[in-house]
Amino acid sequence: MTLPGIWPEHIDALVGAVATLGAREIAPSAARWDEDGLDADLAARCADWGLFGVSVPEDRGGAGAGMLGAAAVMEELATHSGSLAVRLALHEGGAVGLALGLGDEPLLARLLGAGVQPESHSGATGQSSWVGWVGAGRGVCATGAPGGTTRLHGAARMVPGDGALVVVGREGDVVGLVAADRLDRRSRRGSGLRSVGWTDVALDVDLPRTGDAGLAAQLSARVSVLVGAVACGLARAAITQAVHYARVREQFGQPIANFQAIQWKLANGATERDAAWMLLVHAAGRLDAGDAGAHDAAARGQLAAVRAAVSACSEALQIHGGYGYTTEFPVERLLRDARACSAVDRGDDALRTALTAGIAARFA
Amino acid sequence: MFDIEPGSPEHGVQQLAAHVADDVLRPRAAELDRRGGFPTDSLAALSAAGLMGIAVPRELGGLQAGALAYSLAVTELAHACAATTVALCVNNMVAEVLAHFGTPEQRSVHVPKLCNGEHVVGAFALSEAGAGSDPAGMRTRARRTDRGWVIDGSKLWITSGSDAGLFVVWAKTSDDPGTRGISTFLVPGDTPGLSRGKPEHKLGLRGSTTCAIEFASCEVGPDALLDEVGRGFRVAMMALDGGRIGIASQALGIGRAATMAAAAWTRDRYGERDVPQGVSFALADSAMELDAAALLTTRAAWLKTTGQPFSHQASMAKLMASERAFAACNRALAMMGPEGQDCDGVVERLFRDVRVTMIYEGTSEVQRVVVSRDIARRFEDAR
Repeated sequence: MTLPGIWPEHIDALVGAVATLGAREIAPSAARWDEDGLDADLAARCADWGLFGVSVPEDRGGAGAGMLGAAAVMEELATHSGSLAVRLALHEGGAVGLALGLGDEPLLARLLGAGVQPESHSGATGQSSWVGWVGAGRGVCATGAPGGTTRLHGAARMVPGDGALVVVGREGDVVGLVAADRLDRRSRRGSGLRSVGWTDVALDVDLPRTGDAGLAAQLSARVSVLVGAVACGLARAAITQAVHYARVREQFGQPIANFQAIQWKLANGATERDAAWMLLVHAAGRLDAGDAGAHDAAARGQLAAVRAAVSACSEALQIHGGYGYTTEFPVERLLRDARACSAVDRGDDALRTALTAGIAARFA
Repeated sequence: MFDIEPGSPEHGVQQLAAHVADDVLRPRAAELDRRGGFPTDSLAALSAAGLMGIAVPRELGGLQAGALAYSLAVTELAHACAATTVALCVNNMVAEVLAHFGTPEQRSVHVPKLCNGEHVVGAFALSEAGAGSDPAGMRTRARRTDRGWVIDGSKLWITSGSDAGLFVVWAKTSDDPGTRGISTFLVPGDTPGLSRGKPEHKLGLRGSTTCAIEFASCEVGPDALLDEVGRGFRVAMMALDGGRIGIASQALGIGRAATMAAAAWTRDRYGERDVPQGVSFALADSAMELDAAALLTTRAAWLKTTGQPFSHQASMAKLMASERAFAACNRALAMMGPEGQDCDGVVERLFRDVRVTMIYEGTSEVQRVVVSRDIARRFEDAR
């Protein structure tokens, strides 16, 4: 759901292509991925589809759509599969952002799957393997001097890949890529999210690493925008499902869409979702403009988007009644995915806390 | 207004439920959620403890402890395992319906079996694909014959449908418009013509089966009719009024469990340090809202126990308890972040389980209709 006539045409075209791809290749598998996890070869297929590096300039191997385009793509993808969209959002926001920030072209090429033949994608350590993101989330603490040994404490929920994780320490000044095979992973059903936990585990960091707090903030903002975009996509999907259902479901002799209680749920959901989307569009534009203060805008967008998504998905489930509680309709999955978005990177509380300083400065 | 002092019968039942919850339900809850299925053994333990007929008269095998004791017990049990508790709730509702509307023979034949587990559990077969909130859309029909009745049609979302030994079934017995012409029947689970669908895959309550039930030329005797012909809607509404106290209590148990888990997480995380207000205020809101809902639920249960009208009070209780319990679970998940989302953790399950309390036995919208109609009457009277 872009803004025709306002956004660059190439972003509209890109989102249109992703919508077609999503309906044909992604949506039919979404329920199965939710149950069994994403296909092993999906990362390779995503590389082939051009879904890696949407925000990366064309001359560096990407789609050249910037964060605005990446947000629009993630929003559209989430309407087809939240599990896939959140993985791509973290890959694009965190890992690809790290490579861009470091100016590490070999790493960037690897993350985009550029130049890799499809058959070489198979296997857990293939070049196109997922790279996830650990934000400065609660319980996560990474300490150690750049170039030395990083010690990780705590546990976090994120979408780890088979290859590596981007880690930002609680203080926001440690950024690094850590081999994920050193982490204790617990699989979970649903949402494509997995638990990664560690307790005072020493990890030898042999990948690019920096103590750049500015880069950490930039990556965090990228992740916020894209996770927020996923939430907006989930909300749009839920509202769409609810509108269709309310038109055909008849109770008391008429479609339930005729009842004001249903109409207001839909009106509130669409308003909150659109407001959050505008915040994210604004934040993405500021990131593309290189605005150092974009992280506050991004946090506002993510906070609003996740709240809007949980509310819209819950109300969509309510509109579906008993059907909505079953897996026969996708709204129960959308609700789980929306709720899980608050556990990806920064949760509601962390976002509010992050915003406090900026608000104090603005309104002083 | 009501008294739950230590030593009172209500307190005794609450303590009994708390013990069974700790000893039987809680240790099995996570595994039951993971593998799904039906909690046969746990329900047998609840039967043995006498909790399958809490408000049922003693001479029919119940505890005769009243609706308040029932509410307190359900809250304790749902705190441990909401999935097992919903089967108990429906069984208690079915047993009470029979005890209230049944003939002496119906009562003596079926109610003791519902209380002692011989029927495994009872099921309440009202909803249909096109008749959820609106029973007038019912299509299941019962035709009178020389030998009794023949039922044809299908029911949907029947709790415990996979294993229930006795179904209370609603069917149209005439073409009268609206809810007139609906009658109620008792159909044993092994009656030829009754078939059970595959359990639905659900967001939560995965340890409780929810099935479609088909009736194809399902023949029952004249003694299967419960109450009078054409009075089924009244039977259903009276049953649901009481059932809503049960669901409100179930929601309270789930909401309290989530809030307790969040409080324990807060202790572990912050220890002796100051707890941020974002966390402590969220816990305060949950505790306050759940307490308010508990008082509404207790009021409705006390009115029912003392034989007073309680319909709109039960709707208020269910509306408040289910929505505030969902909010409490939602807050706990948001507060706990990644740790709350962990599928091995209890809060993620509670979040999935609690959501249906805003839907079954009357959606929140239906409760608002009931409450708003009563408000209209009250304000009309006051003029």
